[in-house]
Amino acid sequence: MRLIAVRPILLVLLTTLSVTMLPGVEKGSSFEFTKVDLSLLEQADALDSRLEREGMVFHDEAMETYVNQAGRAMLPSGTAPERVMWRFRVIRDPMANAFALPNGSIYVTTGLVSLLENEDQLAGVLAHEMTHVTDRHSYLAFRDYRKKSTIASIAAYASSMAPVNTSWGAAIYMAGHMVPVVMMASINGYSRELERDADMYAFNKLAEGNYDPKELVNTFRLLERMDEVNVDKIYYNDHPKLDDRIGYMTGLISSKPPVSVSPEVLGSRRMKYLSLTEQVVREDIHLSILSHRPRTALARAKKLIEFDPNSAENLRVQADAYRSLGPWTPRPTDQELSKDGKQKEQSLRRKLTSDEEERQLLANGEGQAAWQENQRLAEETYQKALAIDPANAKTYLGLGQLYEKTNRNKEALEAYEKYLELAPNALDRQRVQGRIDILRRSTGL
Amino acid sequence: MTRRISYMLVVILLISSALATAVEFLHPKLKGKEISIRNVVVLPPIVKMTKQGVKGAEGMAKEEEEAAGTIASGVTAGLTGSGLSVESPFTEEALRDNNELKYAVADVQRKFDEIAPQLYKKPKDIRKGRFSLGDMVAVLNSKGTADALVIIRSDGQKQTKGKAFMTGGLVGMATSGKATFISRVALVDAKNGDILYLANYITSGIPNNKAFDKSFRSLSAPK
Repeated sequence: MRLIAVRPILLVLLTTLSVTMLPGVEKGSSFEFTKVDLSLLEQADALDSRLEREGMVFHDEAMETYVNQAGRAMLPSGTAPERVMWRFRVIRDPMANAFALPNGSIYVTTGLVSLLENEDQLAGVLAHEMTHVTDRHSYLAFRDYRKKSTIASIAAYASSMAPVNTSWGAAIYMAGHMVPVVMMASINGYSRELERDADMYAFNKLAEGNYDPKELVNTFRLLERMDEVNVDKIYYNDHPKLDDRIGYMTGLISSKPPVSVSPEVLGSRRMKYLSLTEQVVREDIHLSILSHRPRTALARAKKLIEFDPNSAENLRVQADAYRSLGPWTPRPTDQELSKDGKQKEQSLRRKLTSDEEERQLLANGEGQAAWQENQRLAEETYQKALAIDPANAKTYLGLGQLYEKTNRNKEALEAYEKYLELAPNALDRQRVQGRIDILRRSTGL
Repeated sequence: MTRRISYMLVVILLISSALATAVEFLHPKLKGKEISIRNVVVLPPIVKMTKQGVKGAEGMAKEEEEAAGTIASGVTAGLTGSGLSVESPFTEEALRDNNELKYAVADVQRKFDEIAPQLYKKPKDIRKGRFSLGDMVAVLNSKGTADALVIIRSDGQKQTKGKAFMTGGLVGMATSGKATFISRVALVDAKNGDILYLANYITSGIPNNKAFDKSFRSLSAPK
């Protein structure tokens, strides 16, 4: 309760701080590192190691190469600034976000990669984040926060902003604990001027690289999408200056129209992006389900299906998403998105675990109806996946879970056995064997 | 003002004992001896340390790594001392070249953090069997021999002398050298993910073997 009361006060204070922060480093001027800067750099290096060690960094060779190529195409000319080594990574977090560490590590979340629609948007995000590194924004912000932190504690802010009853945003929360200024920037942005500098750099760099700068505006619009009832109004997609940014970027495009990129080129880059990010999107769907964001999972799965409707893997993850929806509707209802609805949801999340919330919804008629429809769609989609690839082991696993939940124990048993037959060395073999043992005992088979 | 008094009380408590104060919560099946725990697998501890100074908060990355090692060995010693067989297979080396396993460990840790707010808020509800991570945890019990997974969280805060003086006066300043840790050790059923046991500790300094020495006795399985 205390945190709820403190949160708006801190938000106002820190938003004020972010607006009045120091200007950036002059382009081309040297930056003198102080002891404080070096300590921030040390924390940034440690955060890189920790994210890797704790399984937050997503590894997929094709995707890593692609993100690196897109990032390197956006680099400023000349050598890297002192104590900067450029690295571009995808982080396993379903929250759509990106952040830059002062040591040159730029992270985009699986949530953002799966939300974006083409390479131009990804390049724009990377170019924007790059400016925060080249212009030393984190160092300047950190110096500034240290001067003002007697007014408000960043750590208190960070903990008050931790999402409740969900693990989405875990990456940025970890970053916030180790390098608080990164979390601050990720939530509130740097000052209006610094954010505008970063957007301007991205705009120019995109135009220079034959990308379409208009895609920056489309990126901002995508970030405004509401796939879930977001009760934690804190992250990138609730960026307070997002509307401003759409406004000035649209103004810039009309006053200084960039060389237009042909629809064929854009289309081909879009197809390349969607093809290379397929695996990331599937991983993001898995993480969204795990983080109790089934509607986001379904929205991303639908995007995958639009791109490749004949992929058994894509159909399988879509079926997983339907199954995880449980008693929820595929999109938030108007009631849920209303002020009262959001307050109710916030209160529920503070009191109940996601399993308890699901059980509560299942106790009413609407929840039951939604559950039945979602399970029906899940089964139908699993069957479609099997029609395309009858040897897709994970489809049998999903079907087994679906049948077990709907009390079709004999079919569940067969599906689990088929899974183990197709994937005898699966990491979750023991888990599935456990389910089989329970089902055998209950069915007497 | 109330906060200041509470802080002083914690400081005095820590000075007088300088030992862990453990509070334990047991699942009814464990308490009723319906199930017993003999073999456990320890997951890498997640330790967060922050230095709170007058000029704000800073991370303590190096210290966190050292603390994680000390805490893990302390918990292992405590569990072994209670007659349990302990394995720690998820070392950095083991996970380095196995992304599938690394992600599986991360996902279980993530799932625990998802229910952590409710778990920490109402730990007594463990006695009602309220909390579960689900059977996804069985992925980390690939040999099928573990009865429980051990999940460790530890949050340490160290105050600089200036900050300690501001919040706790001279008493606070005198105790500013050591970080204060709030640690939690949870045992999760390795098959179905039920939270079987939770112990909370408050320690002055990194919780070491001594802190966990007398813990986990209630877990001792009948021979």
